[in-house]
Amino acid sequence: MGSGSVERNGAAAGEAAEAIRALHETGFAQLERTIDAAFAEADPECLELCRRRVAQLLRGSAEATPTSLTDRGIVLPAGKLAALDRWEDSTDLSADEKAHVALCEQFVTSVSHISDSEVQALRATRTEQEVYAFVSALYVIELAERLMLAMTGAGATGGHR
Amino acid sequence: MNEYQPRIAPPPGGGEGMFYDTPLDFEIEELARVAMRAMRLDPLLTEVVRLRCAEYHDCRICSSLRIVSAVAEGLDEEMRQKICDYESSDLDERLKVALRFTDAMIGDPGSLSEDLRREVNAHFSAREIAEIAFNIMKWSFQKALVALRLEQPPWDGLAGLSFDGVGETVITTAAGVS
Repeated sequence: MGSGSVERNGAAAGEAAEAIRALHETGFAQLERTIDAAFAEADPECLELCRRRVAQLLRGSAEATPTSLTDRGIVLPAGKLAALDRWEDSTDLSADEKAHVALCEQFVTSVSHISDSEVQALRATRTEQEVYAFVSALYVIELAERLMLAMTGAGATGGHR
Repeated sequence: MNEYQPRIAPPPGGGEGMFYDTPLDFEIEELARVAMRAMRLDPLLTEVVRLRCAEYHDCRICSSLRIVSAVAEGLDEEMRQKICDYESSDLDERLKVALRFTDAMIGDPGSLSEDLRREVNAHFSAREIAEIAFNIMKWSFQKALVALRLEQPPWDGLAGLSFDGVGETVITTAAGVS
C-alpha cells in the first residue's frame, strides 16, 4: 500500500468517526473515554500490539491500519510490527507478547473456543487482575474496530437522515 | 451448559455484578448505560439483536435473560428459537435485516456486502443503524466474560431484564430483583 492510500484511508476513517459522532454523540464520547481507560488499565504496549492484530484480522490484510479512533499514540518497535502477521515464529515478540496475541486472535475469531491453556499462558507472567484488565480492554478496542467497519460498510456514515 | 469453570476468581459479591469495579469497568458500564438511555428502537428488535449476540458468543448469562418489554410485545420461546435459523424463519423482514447486520458486525464486519448495505439503509435510518451498532457493542461485552468463563448466571432458568431511568440493568428473578 502506498503512502497515498494510507493517507486516503486515514482521511476516510476520520470522516467515518465524525459521522458516527454526529449520529450518536453521547455514545461516541463515552466510547472515547472507555478507550482511554482501556489503555490506562491494560499493558499499553501489549494492547497496542493486539489493536494492530485485530485490524489485520478484521480487515484481512497484514498492511491494515486500525481505526484512528483507538489510536492512543503507543509506539512499538518496527521489528514487532513487521513480525505481527507471523508472530508465532517470530523472535521479535516475547513469550508474554505471544500469549497476548494468541488470546487476542481467538477472541476475534471465536471467543467461546478460548481454552484454559490460552488464559493460563497469560497467567505465567500476569496476575488475575492484569488478565481481566487485558481481556476487558481487548473487548473495547476490538468492538470499536468492528463498530467502525460495520458503520462504514453499512453506508450509515454518508447521510444523516 | 455448566461444564465451564471460571478461569480467574469471580468478582466479589457472588457474580451478580459481574464486574470488579475497576476504572475500566466503570467506563464500560457507563457505555452500556449510555447505549440504553439513547435507545429509541422497539424492544422486540433490541431483544432479537441481543439474543443473537448471546448465541454467537455462547454467553450463558445473556441466554438466560429476556427483556421484559420485549416479552410484553410478543417475544416467546418459539420466536427465540427462530432467531437461531432466522433466514428460513417467518420473522419479520426488518428483524431479519437487523440480524444480518448483527451477524456481519460480530462476524466479519469488513465484508459487509453491497446487498446488505442496501437492505439496511432501506429499513433503518442512519441514526437507527448507529443505535443498533452501539447496542451490538454493549451486548458483546459478554465476550470478555466468556473468554474468562465468568458468565455463569447466579440463578436457575430464565430471568427478566429491564433498564431503569439512567440505563442501569435491572434483573428480575423468580426470587425478586437483583
